Parts: sequence; C-alpha cells; structure tokens
Amino acid sequence: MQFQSQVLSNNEVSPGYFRMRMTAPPAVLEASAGQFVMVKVSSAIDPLLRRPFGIYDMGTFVTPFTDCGHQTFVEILYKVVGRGTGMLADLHQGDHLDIIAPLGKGFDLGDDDDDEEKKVLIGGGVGLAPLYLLAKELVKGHKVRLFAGGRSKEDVLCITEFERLGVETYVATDDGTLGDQGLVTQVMMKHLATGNKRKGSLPADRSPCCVPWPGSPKRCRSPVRFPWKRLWPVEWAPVSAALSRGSTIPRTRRISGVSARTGRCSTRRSCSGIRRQDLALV
Amino acid sequence: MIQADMSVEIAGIKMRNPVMTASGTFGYGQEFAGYMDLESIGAMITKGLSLKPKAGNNTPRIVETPGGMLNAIGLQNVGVDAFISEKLPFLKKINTPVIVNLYGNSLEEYGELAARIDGVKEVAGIEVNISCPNVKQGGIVFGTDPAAAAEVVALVRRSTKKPLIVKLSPNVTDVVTMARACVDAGAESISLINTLTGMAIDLKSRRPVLANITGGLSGPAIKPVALRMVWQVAKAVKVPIIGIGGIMTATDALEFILAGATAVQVGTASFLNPAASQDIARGMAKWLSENRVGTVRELIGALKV
Ligand SMILES: Cc1cc2nc3c(=O)[nH]c(=O)nc-3n(C[C@H](O)[C@H](O)[C@H](O)COP(=O)(O)OP(=O)(O)OC[C@H]3O[C@@H](n4cnc5c(N)ncnc54)[C@H](O)[C@@H]3O)c2cc1C
Ligand SMILES: Cc1cc2nc3c(=O)[nH]c(=O)nc-3n(C[C@H](O)[C@H](O)[C@H](O)COP(=O)(O)O)c2cc1C
Ligand code: FES
Repeated sequence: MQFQSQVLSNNEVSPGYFRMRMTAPPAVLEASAGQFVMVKVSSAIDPLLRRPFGIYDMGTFVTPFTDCGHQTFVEILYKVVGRGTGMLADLHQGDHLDIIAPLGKGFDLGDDDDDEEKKVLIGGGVGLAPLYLLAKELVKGHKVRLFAGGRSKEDVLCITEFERLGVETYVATDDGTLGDQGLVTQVMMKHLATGNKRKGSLPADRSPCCVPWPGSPKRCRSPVRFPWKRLWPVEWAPVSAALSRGSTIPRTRRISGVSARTGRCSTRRSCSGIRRQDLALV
Repeated sequence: MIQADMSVEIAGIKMRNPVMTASGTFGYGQEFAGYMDLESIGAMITKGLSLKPKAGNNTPRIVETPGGMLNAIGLQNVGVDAFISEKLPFLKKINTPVIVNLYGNSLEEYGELAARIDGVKEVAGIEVNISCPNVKQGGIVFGTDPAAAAEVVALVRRSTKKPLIVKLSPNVTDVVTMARACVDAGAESISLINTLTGMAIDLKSRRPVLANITGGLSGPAIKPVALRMVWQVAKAVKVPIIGIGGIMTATDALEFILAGATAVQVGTASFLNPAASQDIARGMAKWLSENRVGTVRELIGALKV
C-alpha cells in the first residue's frame, strides 16, 4: 500500500541513530514483524530510489484533536550512513513522506505449536530494529531473551524498550563499553552454555536472529558458528515483496546469511544478499 | 472543462491513452494491481520473454546513480510457455491491451518466439527487443548492426501477423539508420530508447559496482538523449513512434509527444511510484483539458522549430 505520511517525531536516540514515528493508514497494522517500509526521502529525483527500513514498532494513539480520533503510526529506527538517511535525519514533525508498506514476508517463525518454548533473539546495531516488533509479539506467550550487540555502547539501541516488554536482555560490545566484550554471538553462546550444561542444546529450539546488519561484511566473515545446528535463521527475505517480480533475485536468497544447516555464514558474495538497490525491483 | 480525447493507435492497437508501461519495469502486470487501476493506461508491455526461462545476471545488478539507475538484470524471465500458462490468465481479465516484449538468443529463436505468440489471441502485439545492453545475443549483436536488425525484423514479420513494434538501442552511432532498416524490414512502429550503457565504480574497493561490470542507465538522467533520438527518428520514418526514457511526469510525456511520439512508455518511474503510469495518464488528460487541446493527437510532432 502506498500512502502519504506525516512525520510525528524524529529523534536522535543515540549518536547517529534516529527513531522516527510517522502517520499511517490503519491497514498498516496488519504488518508482521520483519516486514519493512520503503520511504521516498525526497520528492525530487535525487536520491531517486526509495530506502527500505524495517518496521520497528507500530500502533495507534488517541489524538488530542477529537475530530481525528485514533491515529495509526509506524516507527523506524535508522542509522545515518549516507545521503538518503542523512536527509531523513533532517526531517521535522509535520514534514511529509511518501511510503510504501508493509513489504516483505516478515519473519517466518515456522509452525509455532510449542507454547512453553523460550525464545532467543539476536541482533546487532541497527539490526535490532525489526526485532522489537517481534519481541512484542513473542512476549505474549513466551519467555524472551535478547542478545544485543554493537561496536560500542552508542550502537546498542533501545534496550530499555525491550526491557519494558519484559525481555531479558544481554549486551555485548566489541570494545566492551557496554555489557560483555566481544561479538554478540560469542556472548550468547557463553551465556547459553553456562545456563545449560548439556552441550548441544540451546534452551530455545529455534532462535530468530537478525545478524549484524547487512553491510558489515567484516563481521560477517568472522565465523559465527553454532555447534548446535539449532540456531534458526530468520528468513528475512523481502524478495517476495511485490513489484516487478520479473526482475528480482532468486526467491531463496536470505538476508540473514547464517545457514540453517551449518550455522555458518552461508553467503559468500556479500552478507546482505539483497542489496537495497535490488529492492527497488522487489 | 471538456474531457480531452486521449486515444491513440499504434500499429492497429487501439489504446485509450498514449501511456504504456515499459518492459522490465512492470513485471507481468499483476504485481502492480494493488497500487493502481490497470485499466487507466493505454497498454501494458511485459518483461522481455525468451523461449526458455532465464535467471539473469549475478547480483549486484542494480545501482542508483545521480538522477537514474544502472541495471544489469540480464533479461531474467519465466519463459514464454510459463508466461502463457501462468501470467496471461490474469492479464486476460484486464481490459487493457497486452504487448509482449520478446528477445531471442539467436535469429531462429526470434522467429520461434513470434510464431509461438502468434496463436495467442490475448496478446495484442509484439515488441521485439534488439536492444538489451546486458546480454550479447538478443541485445547488442542485433541492435547495433542495421543488416542484422533487419534480418530479425523480417523473420519475425514472416512468423506472425501480430502488430510489430521494434525497440531500439541508443548505443549506436546513428539511430536513424537503425530505425530505417527496421521499418523497411516490416516494423510497424518503433519504440525508443532502451537503456544507455554505463558503469559505476566503488572507489573504496576499486571494483565495478555491478557484477556484470556495465549496465543500462535509465531514469530522468537519460531523458534529454531519448527526446533527441525520438525527434530524429520521428522525422525520418513514417510509422508511429513510442517514446521511452526518463519519463516521470505528465509534462515529460507531453514533451515526447511534441517531439514526434504517438505514445510513451513509463519505466523507472514505476519503481519509485508504482502508480506512476496511471498518474502520468491522468496528468496528461488534465493538461490537455486545461490548455484546451481537444485531442492528444494534435500534439504529435507539433514541436515548433
Ligand atoms: C530490507 C531492508 C531493511 C532495512 N532496514 C533498516 C532499518 O531498519 N534501519 C536502518 O538503519 N537501515 C535499514 N536498512 C538499510 C538502509 O536501507 C540503508 O542504510 C539506507 O538505504 C542507506 O541510504 P543512504 O541514502 O543513507 O545511503 P547511501 O548514500 O545510498 O549509501 C551509504 C553507504 O551505505 C552502503 N549501503 C547502503 N545500503 C546498503 C545495504 N542495504 N547493504 C549494504 N550496503 C549498503 C552504501 O554502499 C554506501 O557505502 C535496511 C535495508 C534493507 C535492504
Ligand atoms: C530493471 C530494468 C529492466 C528492464 N528490462 C527490459 C526488458 O526486459 N526488455 C526491454 O526491452 N527493456 C527493458 N528495460 C528498458 C526499459 O523498458 C526502458 O526502455 C528504459 O528503462 C528507459 O526508460 P525509463 O528511463 O523510463 O526507465 C529495462 C529497464 C530496467 C530499468
Ligand atoms: S551474514 Fe553476512 S556473510 Fe554471513
């Protein structure tokens, strides 16, 4: 669905990271965790293509203006990395944006019949963005743990938001400025291993993860190995999205490159598999 | 305000307005149904079809450039048979002419494809693609040599009775020579332009951005080149011209009509605004009414020089 949206707020939550709330039609609430929005950051022809952002949160609030009643919103959490995100960061309350949402398949959680199951979420940096909505959903019936990582403490975002949901959070940073030092995946293994002596069993049968954000190949190359073969990569494949299917990448390509079979990074070419530019066609 | 007459005719295909969707930018139509009224445009041109399904080139195969984008999709498509059995049933229900874009890996394949489509009554016409910059066969091989192009067109002409449009590449020394060769060989309409060959480099890695190294440039950046070529070709041949290249707005489309195009195709614009073709068609009608132009046909080639 394509709609005109108004910026409700756009705050820098950590240096270089912004959280933006935008108006949306009520139908957006049908979105599921892991789906994304495509934003035209400028009505001019530069930048030409839309920018994709995972849906961080969505909901409805009652506006103070009685004639408006309930207002639906979506939120994104984004990092300023270039021109488009730089322009987004300059927007203020009341500014207009053209948005297409929701797109993508969302997290595929498989057949979820095991209610007792504990869930483990793993995310790094801005890769936490789509996990919030997922956590919000999962806490309804599960005990949820989040392992959040980042280069430094500025890169670990919105942890208190997760905690407010009742999620048990563990933090790791590369430089040790917050939580444990090291890669979030290593920290997770340490914690889970001490929690459960029997090697080879993760407390969570399957763990949705949003691995270090596509675009940081260095991290991806560092061996993210899970001996348990149980880590279950979230298929965050927006390829099924909508437009020009005639020209998309194969539908099987995964944005999170941890292989379900081996627990290893599966994509050699680039960690993203899907690049933003390909999404224009998705 | 009086409603302007927007209808035009291309090679016997009657269209409610001059706005068509450009091949490769509109999927197989269905993908866009949720975003716009498919009966608001003049015709739909589907993704280039080959005899066999094709996976296309490796990624990355799209990169954004100032005012445009480079693509090296490499004609990924479902193949003509799957198109007929899986995609056409949906398109059949839409009251808008469907034109298929065809490309062959060899001269014979063009003929076979055209013959295959000839019997499909839901297909209103054929656009022969001899201009893809991203594949050798089916692209530059036929699209840059007037004699080879004429051979393809003549064979397709013999293989089908369907209205025949030939899509030209801008990557040639003299586009008028190419157009003349195609018209002489039986093309009933010429569409132009396909993408301009280009490349993008990533300084940090010192590598080309596209896996294919080069790609085809489309979008607003190519509009001036496209306008010039449409103008030149329209003066040189008698058949109707379809203008393509960087059309984002109704104003852009009307400029192409002034330059001599009977119809236009909207490509890259559909990627940023899936309803672009519909918006452009509506915008053109509005402009005509506001400017008291009774029919869009009055404007074809009406450029004052
Ligand atoms: C499905 C999807 C969901 C996303 N969700 C979020 C999100 O929730 N929050 C968020 O902050 N970002 C997200 N991103 C990434 C975000 O879309 C890009 O950071 C943004 O488009 C950059 O635009 P820009 O104009 O600022 O950068 P540009 O100026 O276009 O690029 C700046 C630099 O970043 C690189 N780059 C940009 N995008 C990518 C990419 N996708 N993969 C690899 N390298 C890239 C460029 O090569 C360049 O080096 C998502 C991407 C995808 C594909
Ligand atoms: C992603 C992409 C795929 C394309 N695929 C085809 C194709 O299969 N066959 C074809 O004849 N042209 C193809 N084209 C060319 C377009 O139809 C059009 O000629 C070109 O993009 C210029 O128009 P525009 O600037 O409006 O996009 C493609 C263009 C793009 C951007
Ligand atoms: S997740 Fe990026 S290469 Fe593995």
